[in-house]
Amino acid sequence: MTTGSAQPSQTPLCVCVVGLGGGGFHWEAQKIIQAVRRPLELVLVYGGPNGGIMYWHSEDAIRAKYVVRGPSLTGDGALRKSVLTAGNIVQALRILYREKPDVVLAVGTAQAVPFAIAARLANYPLWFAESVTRVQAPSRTGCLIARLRLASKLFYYSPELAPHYPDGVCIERGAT
Amino acid sequence: MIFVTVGSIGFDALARQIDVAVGRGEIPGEVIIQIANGTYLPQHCEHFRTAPGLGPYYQRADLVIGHGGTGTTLEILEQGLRLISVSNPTMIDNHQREFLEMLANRGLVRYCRDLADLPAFIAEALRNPPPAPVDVARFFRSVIDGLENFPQRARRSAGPT
Repeated sequence: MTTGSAQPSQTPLCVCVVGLGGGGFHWEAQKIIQAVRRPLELVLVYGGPNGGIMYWHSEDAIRAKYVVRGPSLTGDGALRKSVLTAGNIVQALRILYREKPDVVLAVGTAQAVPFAIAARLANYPLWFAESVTRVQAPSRTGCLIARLRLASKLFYYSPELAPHYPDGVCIERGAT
Repeated sequence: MIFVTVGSIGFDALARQIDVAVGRGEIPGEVIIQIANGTYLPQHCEHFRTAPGLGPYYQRADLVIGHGGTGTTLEILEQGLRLISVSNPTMIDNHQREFLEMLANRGLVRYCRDLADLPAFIAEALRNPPPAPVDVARFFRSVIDGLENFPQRARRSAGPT
Protein backbone atom coordinates (compact mmCIF):
# COMPACT_ATOMS: atom_id res chain seq x y z
CA MET A 1 0.00 0.00 0.00
CA THR A 2 1.28 3.42 -0.82
CA THR A 3 0.68 6.28 1.55
CA GLY A 4 1.31 9.97 1.77
CA SER A 5 2.17 11.70 -1.45
CA ALA A 6 -0.69 12.93 -3.59
CA GLN A 7 1.67 13.72 -6.42
CA PRO A 8 1.16 11.85 -9.65
CA SER A 9 3.90 9.39 -10.44
CA GLN A 10 6.67 11.18 -12.27
CA THR A 11 8.83 9.97 -15.06
CA PRO A 12 12.36 10.05 -13.65
CA LEU A 13 14.37 13.09 -14.56
CA CYS A 14 17.45 11.88 -16.39
CA VAL A 15 20.56 13.70 -15.11
CA CYS A 16 23.95 13.22 -16.69
CA VAL A 17 26.47 13.86 -13.90
CA VAL A 18 29.84 14.83 -15.32
CA GLY A 19 33.38 14.81 -13.96
CA LEU A 20 33.18 12.25 -11.16
CA GLY A 21 36.27 10.53 -9.84
CA GLY A 22 36.29 10.41 -6.06
CA GLY A 23 37.41 13.88 -4.99
CA GLY A 24 35.61 16.90 -3.61
CA PHE A 25 33.72 17.67 -6.84
CA HIS A 26 32.44 14.10 -6.84
CA TRP A 27 31.29 14.43 -3.23
CA GLU A 28 29.49 17.69 -3.96
CA ALA A 29 27.73 16.26 -7.02
CA GLN A 30 26.68 13.19 -5.07
CA LYS A 31 25.38 15.32 -2.20
CA ILE A 32 23.23 17.34 -4.61
CA ILE A 33 21.78 14.22 -6.22
CA GLN A 34 21.15 12.55 -2.85
CA ALA A 35 19.20 15.58 -1.65
CA VAL A 36 16.88 15.84 -4.67
CA ARG A 37 13.41 14.62 -3.74
CA ARG A 38 12.09 13.37 -7.03
CA PRO A 39 12.79 10.24 -9.06
CA LEU A 40 16.04 10.48 -10.97
CA GLU A 41 17.76 8.35 -13.51
CA LEU A 42 21.49 8.92 -13.70
CA VAL A 43 24.14 8.80 -16.35
CA LEU A 44 27.47 8.91 -14.51
CA VAL A 45 30.56 10.18 -16.30
CA TYR A 46 33.86 9.60 -14.54
CA GLY A 47 36.77 11.77 -15.59
CA GLY A 48 40.47 12.22 -15.03
CA PRO A 49 43.35 10.11 -16.31
CA ASN A 50 41.85 6.78 -15.19
CA GLY A 51 38.34 7.67 -14.16
CA GLY A 52 39.51 8.18 -10.58
CA ILE A 53 37.77 6.38 -7.77
CA MET A 54 34.59 5.00 -9.29
CA TYR A 55 31.99 4.85 -6.54
CA TRP A 56 28.48 6.22 -6.28
CA HIS A 57 25.97 6.18 -3.43
CA SER A 58 22.39 7.20 -4.04
CA GLU A 59 19.01 5.53 -4.26
CA ASP A 60 18.49 6.58 -7.86
CA ALA A 61 18.55 4.30 -10.85
CA ILE A 62 21.80 4.36 -12.79
CA ARG A 63 21.16 4.19 -16.51
CA ALA A 64 24.77 4.10 -17.63
CA LYS A 65 28.35 4.76 -16.56
CA TYR A 66 31.14 6.13 -18.74
CA VAL A 67 34.81 6.87 -18.25
CA VAL A 68 36.14 9.83 -20.20
CA ARG A 69 39.90 10.22 -20.26
CA GLY A 70 40.22 13.91 -19.59
CA PRO A 71 43.43 15.94 -19.55
CA SER A 72 45.47 15.96 -16.37
CA LEU A 73 46.14 19.43 -14.94
CA THR A 74 49.75 18.63 -14.23
CA GLY A 75 50.67 15.57 -16.27
CA ASP A 76 49.71 16.57 -19.82
CA GLY A 77 51.30 19.15 -22.10
CA ALA A 78 49.33 21.77 -24.01
CA LEU A 79 49.14 19.75 -27.23
CA ARG A 80 47.97 16.63 -25.45
CA LYS A 81 45.44 18.64 -23.48
CA SER A 82 44.05 20.10 -26.72
CA VAL A 83 43.80 16.69 -28.38
CA LEU A 84 42.16 15.15 -25.33
CA THR A 85 39.70 18.03 -25.04
CA ALA A 86 38.71 17.70 -28.69
CA GLY A 87 38.27 13.97 -28.19
CA ASN A 88 36.23 14.64 -25.07
CA ILE A 89 33.83 16.84 -27.04
CA VAL A 90 33.22 13.97 -29.47
CA GLN A 91 32.79 11.52 -26.58
CA ALA A 92 30.41 13.92 -24.87
CA LEU A 93 28.34 14.25 -28.03
CA ARG A 94 28.13 10.46 -28.32
CA ILE A 95 27.01 10.17 -24.70
CA LEU A 96 24.40 12.88 -25.09
CA TYR A 97 22.97 11.42 -28.30
CA ARG A 98 22.92 7.94 -26.80
CA GLU A 99 21.47 8.75 -23.38
CA LYS A 100 19.41 11.85 -24.17
CA PRO A 101 19.47 13.27 -20.62
CA ASP A 102 17.07 15.96 -19.51
CA VAL A 103 19.94 17.95 -18.02
CA VAL A 104 23.70 17.70 -17.64
CA LEU A 105 25.14 18.58 -14.22
CA ALA A 106 28.79 19.43 -13.66
CA VAL A 107 30.17 20.47 -10.28
CA GLY A 108 33.48 22.31 -10.34
CA THR A 109 35.12 19.95 -12.76
CA ALA A 110 37.10 20.87 -15.85
CA GLN A 111 35.21 18.06 -17.61
CA ALA A 112 32.36 20.55 -17.76
CA VAL A 113 34.01 22.37 -20.67
CA PRO A 114 33.87 19.66 -23.37
CA PHE A 115 30.43 18.63 -22.15
CA ALA A 116 29.24 22.21 -22.18
CA ILE A 117 30.42 22.64 -25.77
CA ALA A 118 28.77 19.35 -26.76
CA ALA A 119 25.59 20.25 -24.90
CA ARG A 120 25.47 23.59 -26.69
CA LEU A 121 25.97 21.90 -30.07
CA ALA A 122 23.34 19.23 -29.36
CA ASN A 123 20.93 21.58 -27.58
CA TYR A 124 20.96 20.02 -24.14
CA PRO A 125 20.83 22.13 -20.98
CA LEU A 126 24.03 22.07 -18.92
CA TRP A 127 24.11 23.29 -15.34
CA PHE A 128 27.47 24.20 -13.92
CA ALA A 129 27.84 24.53 -10.15
CA GLU A 130 31.04 26.17 -9.00
CA SER A 131 32.58 24.23 -6.14
CA VAL A 132 31.53 25.44 -2.70
CA THR A 133 35.24 25.69 -1.90
CA ARG A 134 35.54 28.65 -4.26
CA VAL A 135 35.03 31.51 -1.86
CA GLN A 136 37.13 34.47 -2.97
CA ALA A 137 38.09 33.65 -6.54
CA PRO A 138 36.39 31.60 -9.23
CA SER A 139 37.92 28.54 -10.85
CA ARG A 140 39.46 28.75 -14.32
CA THR A 141 36.77 26.35 -15.50
CA GLY A 142 34.01 28.52 -14.06
CA CYS A 143 35.50 31.65 -15.64
CA LEU A 144 35.73 29.99 -19.04
CA ILE A 145 32.19 28.66 -18.90
CA ALA A 146 30.82 32.01 -17.78
CA ARG A 147 32.80 34.01 -20.33
CA LEU A 148 31.74 31.80 -23.23
CA ARG A 149 28.20 31.47 -21.85
CA LEU A 150 28.40 27.72 -22.18
CA ALA A 151 26.12 26.82 -19.27
CA SER A 152 22.36 27.27 -19.36
CA LYS A 153 22.56 27.85 -15.59
CA LEU A 154 25.57 28.63 -13.44
CA PHE A 155 25.46 28.36 -9.64
CA TYR A 156 27.97 29.60 -7.09
CA TYR A 157 27.92 29.73 -3.32
CA SER A 158 29.98 32.69 -2.20
CA PRO A 159 28.55 36.19 -2.82
CA GLU A 160 32.14 37.35 -3.36
CA LEU A 161 32.06 35.63 -6.74
CA ALA A 162 29.11 37.68 -7.97
CA PRO A 163 31.22 40.07 -10.09
CA HIS A 164 32.64 37.08 -11.97
CA TYR A 165 29.25 35.49 -12.55
CA PRO A 166 26.81 38.31 -13.36
CA ASP A 167 24.30 35.88 -14.85
CA GLY A 168 24.81 33.20 -12.20
CA VAL A 169 22.69 32.13 -9.26
CA CYS A 170 24.16 32.85 -5.82
CA ILE A 171 23.23 29.96 -3.56
CA GLU A 172 23.97 31.73 -0.28
CA ARG A 173 21.65 34.58 -1.16
CA GLY A 174 18.96 32.03 -1.92
CA ALA A 175 18.29 33.39 -5.38
CA THR A 176 16.84 30.80 -7.71
CA MET B 1 39.61 7.72 19.91
CA ILE B 2 41.12 10.37 17.64
CA PHE B 3 40.86 9.58 13.94
CA VAL B 4 43.12 11.30 11.44
CA THR B 5 42.26 11.17 7.73
CA VAL B 6 44.30 12.53 4.84
CA GLY B 7 41.87 11.75 2.01
CA SER B 8 43.01 10.08 -1.19
CA ILE B 9 46.40 11.82 -1.42
CA GLY B 10 49.10 11.45 1.20
CA PHE B 11 49.75 14.20 3.75
CA ASP B 12 52.99 13.08 5.38
CA ALA B 13 53.51 16.27 7.36
CA LEU B 14 50.21 15.75 9.20
CA ALA B 15 50.80 12.04 9.82
CA ARG B 16 54.31 12.75 11.12
CA GLN B 17 53.21 15.61 13.36
CA ILE B 18 50.49 13.50 14.97
CA ASP B 19 52.73 10.47 15.34
CA VAL B 20 55.56 12.43 16.93
CA ALA B 21 53.14 14.19 19.30
CA VAL B 22 51.67 10.83 20.35
CA GLY B 23 55.19 9.50 20.90
CA ARG B 24 55.95 12.47 23.16
CA GLY B 25 52.74 11.92 25.11
CA GLU B 26 51.26 15.25 23.94
CA ILE B 27 48.15 13.60 22.53
CA PRO B 28 46.30 11.29 24.92
CA GLY B 29 44.38 8.09 24.14
CA GLU B 30 44.01 5.95 21.05
CA VAL B 31 44.91 7.53 17.71
CA ILE B 32 44.30 5.95 14.29
CA ILE B 33 45.73 7.52 11.13
CA GLN B 34 44.59 6.88 7.55
CA ILE B 35 47.73 7.64 5.54
CA ALA B 36 46.60 6.93 1.92
CA ASN B 37 49.68 6.80 -0.31
CA GLY B 38 51.89 8.70 2.13
CA THR B 39 55.46 7.59 2.60
CA TYR B 40 55.66 8.28 6.34
CA LEU B 41 54.69 5.22 8.38
CA PRO B 42 53.61 6.11 11.92
CA GLN B 43 55.58 4.43 14.72
CA HIS B 44 53.32 5.24 17.65
CA CYS B 45 49.80 5.00 16.18
CA GLU B 46 47.65 2.41 14.48
CA HIS B 47 47.45 3.27 10.78
CA PHE B 48 46.11 2.07 7.43
CA ARG B 49 46.22 3.36 3.87
CA THR B 50 42.63 3.20 2.63
CA ALA B 51 39.35 1.59 3.58
CA PRO B 52 36.14 0.99 1.61
CA GLY B 53 34.45 3.52 3.86
CA LEU B 54 35.55 5.62 6.79
CA GLY B 55 32.09 5.59 8.46
CA PRO B 56 33.04 3.01 11.11
CA TYR B 57 36.03 5.12 12.14
CA TYR B 58 33.95 8.29 12.29
CA GLN B 59 31.39 6.50 14.47
CA ARG B 60 34.05 5.54 17.00
CA ALA B 61 35.84 8.88 16.96
CA ASP B 62 35.63 11.50 19.70
CA LEU B 63 37.48 13.81 17.36
CA VAL B 64 38.35 13.76 13.66
CA ILE B 65 41.39 15.55 12.26
CA GLY B 66 40.95 16.06 8.53
CA HIS B 67 43.07 17.27 5.66
CA GLY B 68 40.60 19.97 4.65
CA GLY B 69 39.10 18.13 1.69
CA THR B 70 35.56 19.21 0.84
CA GLY B 71 34.01 15.77 1.14
CA THR B 72 35.62 14.92 4.46
CA THR B 73 34.93 18.31 5.96
CA LEU B 74 31.25 18.42 4.99
CA GLU B 75 30.66 14.77 5.87
CA ILE B 76 32.01 15.33 9.39
CA LEU B 77 29.96 18.52 9.83
CA GLU B 78 26.87 16.65 8.72
CA GLN B 79 27.44 14.03 11.40
CA GLY B 80 27.93 16.54 14.20
CA LEU B 81 31.44 15.38 15.11
CA ARG B 82 34.28 17.42 16.51
CA LEU B 83 36.53 18.37 13.62
CA ILE B 84 39.93 19.96 13.30
CA SER B 85 40.83 20.80 9.71
CA VAL B 86 44.37 21.19 8.49
CA SER B 87 44.81 22.35 4.90
CA ASN B 88 47.41 20.57 2.84
CA PRO B 89 49.87 23.20 1.54
CA THR B 90 51.07 20.89 -1.23
CA MET B 91 47.70 20.93 -3.01
CA ILE B 92 47.57 22.68 -6.40
CA ASP B 93 45.28 25.51 -5.42
CA ASN B 94 44.57 27.41 -2.24
CA HIS B 95 40.78 27.21 -2.52
CA GLN B 96 40.61 24.62 0.28
CA ARG B 97 42.18 27.23 2.53
CA GLU B 98 39.56 29.81 1.52
CA PHE B 99 36.81 27.32 2.21
CA LEU B 100 38.20 26.42 5.63
CA GLU B 101 38.59 30.10 6.50
CA MET B 102 34.93 30.66 5.63
CA LEU B 103 33.79 27.71 7.76
CA ALA B 104 36.06 28.75 10.63
CA ASN B 105 34.70 32.31 10.51
CA ARG B 106 31.24 30.83 10.94
CA GLY B 107 32.38 28.71 13.85
CA LEU B 108 31.75 25.46 11.98
CA VAL B 109 35.29 24.05 12.06
CA ARG B 110 38.47 24.46 14.04
CA TYR B 111 41.01 25.45 11.43
CA CYS B 112 44.59 24.66 12.39
CA ARG B 113 46.88 26.77 10.22
CA ASP B 114 50.13 25.62 11.80
CA LEU B 115 50.78 21.95 12.49
CA ALA B 116 52.78 22.86 15.59
CA ASP B 117 49.54 24.09 17.16
CA LEU B 118 47.75 20.75 16.76
CA PRO B 119 48.16 19.44 20.33
CA ALA B 120 46.60 22.65 21.70
CA PHE B 121 43.75 22.43 19.18
CA ILE B 122 43.14 18.81 20.16
CA ALA B 123 43.03 19.59 23.88
CA GLU B 124 40.60 22.46 23.29
CA ALA B 125 38.35 20.39 21.02
CA LEU B 126 38.12 17.52 23.48
CA ARG B 127 37.25 19.89 26.34
CA ASN B 128 34.14 21.06 24.50
CA PRO B 129 30.98 19.15 23.53
CA PRO B 130 30.49 17.98 19.93
CA PRO B 131 28.75 20.52 17.67
CA ALA B 132 25.21 20.18 16.35
CA PRO B 133 24.95 18.44 12.97
CA VAL B 134 25.03 20.85 10.02
CA ASP B 135 22.59 20.56 7.11
CA VAL B 136 25.25 20.64 4.40
CA ALA B 137 22.62 20.51 1.64
CA ARG B 138 22.23 24.23 2.28
CA PHE B 139 25.51 24.78 0.44
CA PHE B 140 23.86 23.42 -2.70
CA ARG B 141 20.25 24.47 -2.09
CA SER B 142 19.54 26.36 -5.33
CA VAL B 143 20.86 23.50 -7.44
CA ILE B 144 18.78 20.96 -5.52
CA ASP B 145 15.65 23.11 -5.79
CA GLY B 146 16.31 23.63 -9.48
CA LEU B 147 16.49 19.91 -10.15
CA GLU B 148 13.40 19.22 -8.06
CA ASN B 149 11.47 21.76 -10.09
CA PHE B 150 13.04 21.02 -13.44
CA PRO B 151 10.18 20.93 -15.96
CA GLN B 152 9.32 17.44 -17.04
CA ARG B 153 9.81 17.36 -20.77
CA ALA B 154 8.40 15.03 -23.32
CA ARG B 155 10.48 11.93 -22.84
CA ARG B 156 13.34 11.55 -25.24
CA SER B 157 13.77 7.85 -25.69
CA ALA B 158 17.23 6.68 -24.71
CA GLY B 159 19.44 4.56 -26.85
CA PRO B 160 21.28 4.92 -30.12
CA THR B 161 19.40 6.81 -32.80
